[in-house]
Amino acid sequence: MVWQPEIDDLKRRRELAYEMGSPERVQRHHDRGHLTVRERLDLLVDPGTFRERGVLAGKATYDEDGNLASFIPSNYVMGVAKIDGRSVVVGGDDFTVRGGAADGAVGGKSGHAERMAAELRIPVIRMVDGTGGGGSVKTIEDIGRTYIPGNTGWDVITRAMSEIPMVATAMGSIAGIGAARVAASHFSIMIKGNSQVFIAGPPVVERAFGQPIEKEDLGGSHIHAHGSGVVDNEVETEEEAFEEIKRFLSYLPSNAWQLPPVCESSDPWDRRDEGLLSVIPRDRRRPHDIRKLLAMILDEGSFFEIARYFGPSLVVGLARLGGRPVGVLANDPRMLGGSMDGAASDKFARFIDLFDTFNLPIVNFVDQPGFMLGTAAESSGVARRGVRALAAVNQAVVPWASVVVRRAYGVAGAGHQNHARWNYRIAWPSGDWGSLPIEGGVQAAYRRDIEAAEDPDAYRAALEEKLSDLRSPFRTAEAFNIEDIIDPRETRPLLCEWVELVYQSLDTIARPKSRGTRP
Amino acid sequence: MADVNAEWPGRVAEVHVAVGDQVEAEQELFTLESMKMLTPIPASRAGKIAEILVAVDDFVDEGATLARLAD
Repeated sequence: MVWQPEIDDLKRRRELAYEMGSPERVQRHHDRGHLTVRERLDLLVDPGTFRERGVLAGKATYDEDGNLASFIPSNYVMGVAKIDGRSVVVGGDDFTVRGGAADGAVGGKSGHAERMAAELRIPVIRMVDGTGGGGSVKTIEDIGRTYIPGNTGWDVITRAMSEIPMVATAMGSIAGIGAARVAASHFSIMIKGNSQVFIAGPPVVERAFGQPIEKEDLGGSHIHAHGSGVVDNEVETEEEAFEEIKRFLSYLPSNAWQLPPVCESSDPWDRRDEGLLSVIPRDRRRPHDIRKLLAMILDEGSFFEIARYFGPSLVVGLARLGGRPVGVLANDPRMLGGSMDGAASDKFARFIDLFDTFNLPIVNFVDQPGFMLGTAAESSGVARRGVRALAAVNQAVVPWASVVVRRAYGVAGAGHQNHARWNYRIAWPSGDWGSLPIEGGVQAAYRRDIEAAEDPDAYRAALEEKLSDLRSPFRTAEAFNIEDIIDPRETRPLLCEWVELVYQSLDTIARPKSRGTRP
Repeated sequence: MADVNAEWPGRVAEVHVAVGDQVEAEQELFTLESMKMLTPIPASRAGKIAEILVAVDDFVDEGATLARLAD
């Protein structure tokens, strides 16, 4: 019992840390509809697996005899744990201590957690709350000077984005570096109505513009999980966020050097869904329901959609085929006719990078009329954002399959795969493609002839009809310009076989790619 | 009141409702022809159609209000 006094002291210090800010502050936090950081960690990870690092960090005061008088723990709680039996690093801000601001952090624990995950090569989950370790002018008072801001740890974050899965959730009102941490992730979540993300919160914004603003109006999930695309998914409760995190990680390897985890699939690999024969309407102007189409092909219940409301003309998610994880891209003709606008282009590029980084073979379901047309699209910079997306297609090295379910038009349509590589490509009999659609394209190519004709409308109609006869996809297949046209019911068996095939040598590309993932 | 807006430009191809109709959330109210595709414009929530501001063949810009929903 030589060291018993110190062991008693250790026990007491740990107990003080588990109390967080104070019982009153914990109660206030609960009253606002939030869980504490320790409750969040308990719900997220496998029971009993959390091994905390740095529980003793905090601010202490001592009495005249040198005994501990009071202790306020660091407002960042972190450690290693397991999720579904796989190791991860988890961390979160404790809002009950200084609202999660940097002056309550002690020792850069959030950056330490990220560095630990990068070194261990396992995923990191950051539950950001309050200012998320961001600056506070109280620091100026504490250190007696101002300071040049440094984005401490950003080297680690930048590298880790290309090496390990990085997940972030916005659990409260978060600003500054906390907001930056949420955006610097492969998958991010907000709690609807109970979390906000902004560069700076209402008091700072009011000072800048002289206008008061509510935090939800400034940075609610209706902004960030929709038009801004800063955050991927919105959920109703914190518990739902934990479920989504587990689901996301279930498709990913622990790092870029490993293969995605394969599981047994109860869905027969050779299932042929009869609905696939009728899912595409004969009328070229009628859209189909892409999510129904995907459900008929992918392993039952395996499609996990990400960023549904940002760039909605492109549907993106993770799924399995025969138990093997894949990245899914699919055009949604019900939104913008399925065309690529600026947001859909950004989404396309970002998720190709994600799939490529984590060795997820890509399956692209193509019904692409081209880049979005018109003044608004041009002004939004669709041409540059679109060609960035095409660059991502050409830089990706993961195996790639394209299923042309209907249209592939123009430069964006051509971007359904990298034509300089071998890719697995199949089309359905509804296939319809070209540089320009016949409607509209005829007017552009034969304008002089049409204008000179006695009856321009009749002349144009006759030209369109003549070209339409050449539109059959079978003529394209005769020239081996499309490798195969298949019965749509064969899509799942063929894709399952392809995925099985490409997984055999997937380990040969399993390493960080020469081009990293940018947030 | 809630506005039903066009999220992208297009031609109003079909109007499926009339003033006074009670509609459900997600019910298709209009069909907009955009990028040569007939795309559904659904109700954002349930309600009664208070006003319809467009007619078939009107061209609408992104963000244009097509109808107003009352509670």
